[in-house]
Amino acid sequence: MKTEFPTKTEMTVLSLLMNSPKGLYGLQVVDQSEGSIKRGSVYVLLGRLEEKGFVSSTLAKVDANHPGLPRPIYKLTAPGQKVLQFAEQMGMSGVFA
Amino acid sequence: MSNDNDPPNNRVKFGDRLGGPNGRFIVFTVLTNRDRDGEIYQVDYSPHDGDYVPHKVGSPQDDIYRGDWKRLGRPNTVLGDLSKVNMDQALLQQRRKLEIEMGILERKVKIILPPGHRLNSLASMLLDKKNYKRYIYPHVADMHVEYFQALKDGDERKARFVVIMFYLRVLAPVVRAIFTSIKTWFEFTSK
Repeated sequence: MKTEFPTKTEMTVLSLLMNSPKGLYGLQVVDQSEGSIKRGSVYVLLGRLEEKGFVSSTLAKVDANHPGLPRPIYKLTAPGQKVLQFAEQMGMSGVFA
Repeated sequence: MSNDNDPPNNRVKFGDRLGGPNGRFIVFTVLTNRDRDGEIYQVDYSPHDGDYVPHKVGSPQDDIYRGDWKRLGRPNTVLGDLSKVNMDQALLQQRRKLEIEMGILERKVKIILPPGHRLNSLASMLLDKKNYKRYIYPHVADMHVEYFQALKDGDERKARFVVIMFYLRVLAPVVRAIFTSIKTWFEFTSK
């Protein structure tokens, strides 16, 4: 299966996930992106990255203090880390810093 | 004629049994949460109803109750054969009835479901798993976090705003897609 190389915005998401080994919620990705990623599109991006295999998602454990639905947590996978390292080697890290 | 059940301070309270000419009157005083000391009910057993029927006869401030405890309501009212009745149960039953009648106890159970649950249920049935997980579920979960946090902070306006923004965020793309589809169809058919 041929996997497309991540776009610039997708690389931004991957770099944010790289800095958070425990994973991030969608809203945290939006906050940390400082406006470059919108709330309406973050889950589309994360969904595409998950299809490509660069990101994995799990549902957070239900907290007694949080009565709503469990939120998905997104983590970087090994292929995702390799893509980031490859991009850094190619000198593309400045594009999505 | 004195009655051993007379309260020492001459104030009538719930369950007091006041002596009368027949010696068989039971008083149900219902202490309300209003600024009154209560009301006096005389309870008569009704063979027709097979039950105790309360009649309001006054309030503890009335002179009749401060002074002579022997007079209460209609002295010729007969309560029936009390020896065959479990008076504790009857007292509780009547008190319950009176309280409910007077609107003191309002049993209202309200189950509140979080906002967006209907949309979430509908979407999970109508959409395929991929689109549901991408376009609906995470937005509902995020909205719940912000909504309950706002309620916890006591900010109801913010909670309502969160819900409105959620619906705009989720439904706007759907509405936009529908309009685009209609526009495309008109353009196609007009050629």
